[in-house]
Amino acid sequence: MILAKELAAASLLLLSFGTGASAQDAAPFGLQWLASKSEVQALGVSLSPVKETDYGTSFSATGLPKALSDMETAILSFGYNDQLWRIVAFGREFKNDQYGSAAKARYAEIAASLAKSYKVIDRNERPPADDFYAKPENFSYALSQNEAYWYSLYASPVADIELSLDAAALQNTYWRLIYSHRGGEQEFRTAKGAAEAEAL
Amino acid sequence: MKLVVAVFASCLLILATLFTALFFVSGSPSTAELEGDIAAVRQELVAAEAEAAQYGTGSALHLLSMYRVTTLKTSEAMLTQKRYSMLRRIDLVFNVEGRAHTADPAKIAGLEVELTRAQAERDRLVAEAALYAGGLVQVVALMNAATSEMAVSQVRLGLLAERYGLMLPAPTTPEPEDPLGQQVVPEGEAL
Repeated sequence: MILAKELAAASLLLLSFGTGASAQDAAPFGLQWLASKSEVQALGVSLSPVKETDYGTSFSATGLPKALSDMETAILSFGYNDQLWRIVAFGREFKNDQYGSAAKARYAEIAASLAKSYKVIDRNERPPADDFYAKPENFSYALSQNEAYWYSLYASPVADIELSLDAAALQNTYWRLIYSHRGGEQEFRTAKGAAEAEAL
Repeated sequence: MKLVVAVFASCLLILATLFTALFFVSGSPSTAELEGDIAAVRQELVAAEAEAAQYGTGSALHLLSMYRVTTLKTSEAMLTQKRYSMLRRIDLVFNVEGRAHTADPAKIAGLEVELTRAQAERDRLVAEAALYAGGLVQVVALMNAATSEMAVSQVRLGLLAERYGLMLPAPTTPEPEDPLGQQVVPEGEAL
């Protein structure tokens, strides 16, 4: 009986090692999901801490293995178990893009690429209902005031993806990509709840 | 004596012909046209400075207005320099890659069309801003109008530079110290 249990445990242990990184572990920009901070740095990525605690320990990343030509910033978030579970990328701002034409064009390009690799879940490109915000020249302002929404949702076997447009300084627009690993997020939320319960 | 008079008259005739060729046969704009453009730019500069003075220093509207003022001052300086060079018969020619810049009529025509469109858009937005009595709505409308004014100034600067063969310094973007990616790839590979 004891021998059978030991054999079962040994089998499980062997199975858990796996045979190396699978396609499902592949994250965007040449990264690996659930990689630790040191493993990410071993890829040549430089990590600088940022004051963002809502998603674990977050860093601004440079030197990503792969990047888009107009990416400006990438934020990587690691859970309590030091596993990469969230990646956010911001595009370079389109200056004086009050009509949003530049941002929408770039959004369409990225959306088309994402649709080739991932399942499209939802598209919400809602112009404002208000007459003032609905004016074409106020598109970027409407985005900045959350009076307009422009986003698409995608899904892979392991991650959820959101592509959206936003605006800064009234007339400058930019695109944003958010990748969340479902398993990593669940692990993070559970650990966060436990940590808060312990603190209270 | 008659010979001296004949030689003197011939010299005068030659100089007059040369003068006519330089000022009337040449394809470059006349001094009168240049003076007109300078006057128009100065008039707009006065209006732009008055508008900038209305807004608080450091506000977004003040910044936009000052950008327009700077653009107009650059236009005035370049046109004035060109005028002085013409008065002193100094051939102010800018070279690009070893070749002297010459005005491109097609490009000038295109810029004139673009200027007309920009001015029409500016007039529309200014009229709209005048509809509001205050509040954030008016601020946004004024921002739109100020941005369109800046666009008009920039197009005019480009048109004047092309018309008078003036060179604008090419903007340079400093290279980032830490590039975001080790290699830039298409969306299909990165995402």
